[in-house]
Amino acid sequence: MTVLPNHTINLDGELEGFVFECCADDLANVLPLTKTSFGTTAIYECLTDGGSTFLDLSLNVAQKELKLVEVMDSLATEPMEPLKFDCMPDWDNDMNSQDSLKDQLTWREEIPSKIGVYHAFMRTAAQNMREHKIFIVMSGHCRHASEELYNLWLDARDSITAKQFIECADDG
Amino acid sequence: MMAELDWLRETTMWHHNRLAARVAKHLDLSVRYLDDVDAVNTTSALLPTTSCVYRDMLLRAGRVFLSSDAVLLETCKSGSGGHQIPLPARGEEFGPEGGERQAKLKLTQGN
Repeated sequence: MTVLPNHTINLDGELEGFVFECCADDLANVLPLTKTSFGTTAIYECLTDGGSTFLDLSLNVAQKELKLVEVMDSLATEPMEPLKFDCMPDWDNDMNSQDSLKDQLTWREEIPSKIGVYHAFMRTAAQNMREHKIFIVMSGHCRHASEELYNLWLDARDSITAKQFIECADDG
Repeated sequence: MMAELDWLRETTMWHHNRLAARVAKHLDLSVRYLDDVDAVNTTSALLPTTSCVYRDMLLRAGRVFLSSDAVLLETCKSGSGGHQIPLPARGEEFGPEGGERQAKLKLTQGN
C-alpha cells in the first residue's frame, strides 16, 4: 500500500488517500474495500451565452441556492428505488439483441457527496478573450449499489481471489 | 459478460450525468441535453466536460490495484482529482469486456 500526501482518516475511521496493490491470486479479503466504490467527480460546462446565465445566477444567489436544495429534496422523496444491482442489464439474454442493453429497472438518482454550480471568468482556447463560464460540478458514489458490492465482497472475500472478485462480483 | 464492477463504474458516471441534467433543468442553465437510451424510460442526461473516478479498482498484468482519493491513469479518461498513479505496462489483459455503457446518444435539445 502506498499512502499518499492527501491521506486522511474519514468520519467512519477509514483511511483515505492511498493506492493498494496485490497479486491477483491473493484472497479477496486483502482488499481494503469500502462502501464508497467508484466515487466519481464530474464537471459539466454550460453553453456560453454571453454572460446572461452568470448575471442571472449572481443576481439571484439565494433563490438559486434554494432551487438546488429543492432538487436534492426531490431526490429524497421520489418513489423510485435508487440504483441497485437489480437494475443491471440482463447480459445473457440481451447480448444477441440489436438494441442497446437496457437497464432492467428504473432507478432514481441519489444525493451526491458534493454538488454545486460554479462560475469562472476564463480565457477560452479559441479566442483571446475572457468569457463567463458556468459549470455544474458533482462528486460522489451510488450509495446503495456500492453497499451491495461491499456486502458481496464481505460474503465471498474468504473464498475467492482478488481476481475473481474484480472480474465478476456475483460469482462469489 | 460484462463484470458487475465495470457496470457500476460506468453507471455511476451516468448517475451523475442524469443528476446534472436535472440540476440544469431546475436552474434554467443553458446546456445540451442527451438521452440516456439505456434507461428503461428514456431520461435526459448531460455529457461531462471532464470526469475522473477517485475510488477505482483495476486488474492489470496479474496485479490488482485499488485507489482511494487517487486516480488510476489506466482507466481515467479525462481530468484528474487528487493523485495520478501510473500503472505498469500492459501485460496480461483483463480489462472490461463490455466496454462503454451503450452510449447511443442523441441530441434532443439545446438552449
